Amino acid sequence: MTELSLDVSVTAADNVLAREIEGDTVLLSMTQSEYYGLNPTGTRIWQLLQRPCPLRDVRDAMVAEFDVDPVVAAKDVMAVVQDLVTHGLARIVFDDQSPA
Amino acid sequence: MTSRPPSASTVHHTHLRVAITAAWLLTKYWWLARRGASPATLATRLTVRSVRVVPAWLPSPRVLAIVSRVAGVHPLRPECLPQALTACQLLLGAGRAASVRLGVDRKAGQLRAHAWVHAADLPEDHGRDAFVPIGDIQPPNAWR
Repeated sequence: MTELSLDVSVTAADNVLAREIEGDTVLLSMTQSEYYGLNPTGTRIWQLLQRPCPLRDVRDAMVAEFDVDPVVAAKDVMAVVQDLVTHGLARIVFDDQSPA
Repeated sequence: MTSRPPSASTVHHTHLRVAITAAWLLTKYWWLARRGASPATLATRLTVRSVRVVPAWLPSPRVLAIVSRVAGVHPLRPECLPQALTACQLLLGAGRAASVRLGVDRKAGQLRAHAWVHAADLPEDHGRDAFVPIGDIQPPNAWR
């Protein structure tokens, strides 16, 4: 299993349906039978992962938009993304899968 | 060309056949839902034209009403998802475009999920209540 770091690129998994409700996002994987909820911060991370995105860029966006310490932001982003990857809602993009 | 309205006897027997088929489908989909089948798995069980008990003259809202009534007396008490899948299967069998729509709602911080049938000849909000649609379960051939 690939360790997450700020240099790793991640993107939303295929077959995941998402819907925003009052600032939160509800995710439903077509290959699982559970719903997942993201708070507004998680929602912003999810939006950024709609295309392959290095976690460093996600961290930078969170720092810029939420006025949070970069170290704390990095830790939070990694935790959320790790959860998404663990539940099959996002996947790590390896270099040879990146769009040309 | 106009077709003759069905006789009372035909209507009665058709309703009975639809109800019996619905009872069987409700059991099947209740069991699948209870096993935690994913939407993708459930979609593969929705097969077009495999259950042909709904005639052209029986309107879709009537089919849903029969399914709802059967579910009300079904010993397994199937909830919205098995009911929606059953009604969808019956409509697909009649050659009508139908899918199961999945929706979510937040009430007092709690996430609630719901499923209902979406079909061209049903009102858009039929069975939706306050739920926001998130996606559809469609038969596999509808994805191609």
